[in-house]
Amino acid sequence: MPIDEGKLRAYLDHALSPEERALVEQQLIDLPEVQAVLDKLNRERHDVAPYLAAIGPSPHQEPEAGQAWGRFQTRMSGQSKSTKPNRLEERINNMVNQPFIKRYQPLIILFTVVAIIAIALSFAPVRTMASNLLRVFRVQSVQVVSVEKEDMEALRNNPNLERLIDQLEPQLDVAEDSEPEKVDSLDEAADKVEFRIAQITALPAEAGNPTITVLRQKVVQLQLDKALLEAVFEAAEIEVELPDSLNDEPVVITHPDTVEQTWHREGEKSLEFIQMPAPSIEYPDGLDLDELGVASLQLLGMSAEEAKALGATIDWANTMVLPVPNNGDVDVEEVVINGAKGLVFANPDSEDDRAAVSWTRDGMSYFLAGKYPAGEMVDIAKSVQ
Amino acid sequence: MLTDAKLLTQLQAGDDASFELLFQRHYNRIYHILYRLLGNKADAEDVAQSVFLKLYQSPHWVRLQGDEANVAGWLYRVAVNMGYNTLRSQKRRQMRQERWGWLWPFSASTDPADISASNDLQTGVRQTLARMKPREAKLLVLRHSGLSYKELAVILEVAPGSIGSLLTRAERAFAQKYRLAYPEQE
Repeated sequence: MPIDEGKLRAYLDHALSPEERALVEQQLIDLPEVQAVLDKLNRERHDVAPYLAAIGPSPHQEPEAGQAWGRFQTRMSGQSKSTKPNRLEERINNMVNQPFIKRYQPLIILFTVVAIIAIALSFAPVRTMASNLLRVFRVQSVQVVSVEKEDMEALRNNPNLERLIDQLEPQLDVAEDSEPEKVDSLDEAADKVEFRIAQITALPAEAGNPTITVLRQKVVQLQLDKALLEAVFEAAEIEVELPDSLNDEPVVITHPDTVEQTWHREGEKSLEFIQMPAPSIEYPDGLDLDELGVASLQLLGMSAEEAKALGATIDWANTMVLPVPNNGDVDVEEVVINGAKGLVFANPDSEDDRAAVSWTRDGMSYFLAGKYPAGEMVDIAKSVQ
Repeated sequence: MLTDAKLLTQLQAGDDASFELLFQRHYNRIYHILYRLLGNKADAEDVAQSVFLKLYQSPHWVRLQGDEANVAGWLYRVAVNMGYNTLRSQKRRQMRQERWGWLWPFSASTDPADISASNDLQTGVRQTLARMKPREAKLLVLRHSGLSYKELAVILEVAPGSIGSLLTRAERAFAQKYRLAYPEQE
C-alpha cells in the first residue's frame, strides 16, 4: 500500500481524527519505511518553518485590536484622525488625479483603465438593438470631460464606487501579466503584429535609434454587477436603467498587439511612441447607452440639462469619455493630426518641457510622449506616416 | 459565548454591538495574515480595516457566498484576496512610476510604504512566495498565520483531507525555489 504523505503530514500537525491517528500509529509500528517518511516530512516542515515565521510581525508590530477598533469607529464616523489617506480617495487619486497622465498612458494601460472608468463611470455607449448578438464598440475618438474638484469629492464619497472598484480591479490583473518582447527592428516587430507599423519621419536631431518592444494582445473579461452599478448611480441620485443581461454576459475588452518605441537622450528617456489598433469593447445587448452615457456625464458632475446637451453632441457609437480633473495639473487641448482629432496634454507649471499627444486615425490609436515643448510634440506627431 | 453565525445574524439585523464582537474576535488573526503578505504594519492595519469594513457594509454577502456559518473563513478569504490585490496595485504603481516617472516633474510618489521589509531574509521569503503558484503561497501564509486544516480547507475550497499533501507540496516548492534564488542565505 503506498505511503500517504498527506496523511502523515496531517499526523504531524495533529490534524487527524482519533481513528485516523490510531491507523497511522499502527502503520508506524508495522512498517519501518513509514517512520522514515515521517522523519523526512518532519525535517522538511522544520526547515521551512523559520522562513515563514520570519515574515510574521515582530513584538513591536503585533496587532492592537483595541486601538484598531477605535480607528475603525473613527473611520466609520467620517472623522478620521489618521494621517493615512482614505483608501478610496487614494485609489481614485491614483486612478484619475495624480497626475492622470501617468495612470492613462501607455495606451495599453490607458484603454484598460479608461475603459474601466468609462464603464464604471460613463459606460461606453451603444445603441440598443433587438438582436441577440453582442454589440461591439470600437474606440475612434475621445471626448474629454473636465471634472471639478467638488465633483471628484462626490465620487469619493460614493459608498458603492469602492465596492465596484473592488470588483473590477482583480479582473484587470489578467491584462498586465505578460512581459513585453524586445525586438531589433520595426521589420521584426511587423512580423509579430497584424497591422502596418507607422513611423515618425521627423525625429528630433539628437534622437538616435529607438528601443523597440512588442506587447501581445490581451483580452480582459469584466463581469459587472447590475445591482451594484445601479447603486453607484443611485447614491448620486441619478436614475438609470440597466438590463439584466449585465449579470449574465461579461464585458470583453480586447487590447490589441502594441508596438512601443523609446528614445533616450543623455541616458534618460526623451521620447516614447506607442501604436496599436483601437481597442474594442464587446458588451451585452440591451444596454441603452445613450441614456447611460448621459447618466455618466451626470456622475462626473454635470447637471441633467448639461449632460443631455453634451450627450447630444457626442457620437456615442464610437466615443470614449475621458474624465480629466480640473485641478490645474494638466492642460488638455484638442489638436488635428493629419486630419484626425487628437489631444495634447501638457503641464503648464512644469520647470522643463514635457508633453504628450494622443490621436486615433483609420482604426489605429497613437500616443506620443516626450521631453519637448507641446508644439514640437505636435509636429513630431504630424510626421507619423 | 455567542457563535459567529449568531453574531452575523444579529449584525444583519442591524446590531452594531455584534459587529464589534466579531471585530475583536478576528482582528488579530486577520492582521497576522495581512502582515505576512504585505510586510509592514501600516499596510496590514489599513487593509485589515478594509476587510472589516466590507463585512460591516455587506454582511449579507457572507450568507450569499455560501459561508452561512463561517464568518472566519469569509474574513480570511477576503483578507487574502485584498492583500494580494494590494500587492498587485503596489507593484503596478511601482512599475508605472519606474516607467513614466521620467515624464513628469511632479512625480513625487504617493505609493504606500515599501512592500518588502528591509531585512534580506524577509525580502527573500516574500519574493519566493511571489514566485510560487498563488494557491500554494496562500496556503503557506495562512498555515503559518495559525489557521487549522479545517479553516484552510474552507478558504481554499478543498477537502480537509487534502490539506496535508497540499501543504507538503507547497513547502517543498518553497524550499526548492528559495534555495535556487538565495543559496548564500541558507
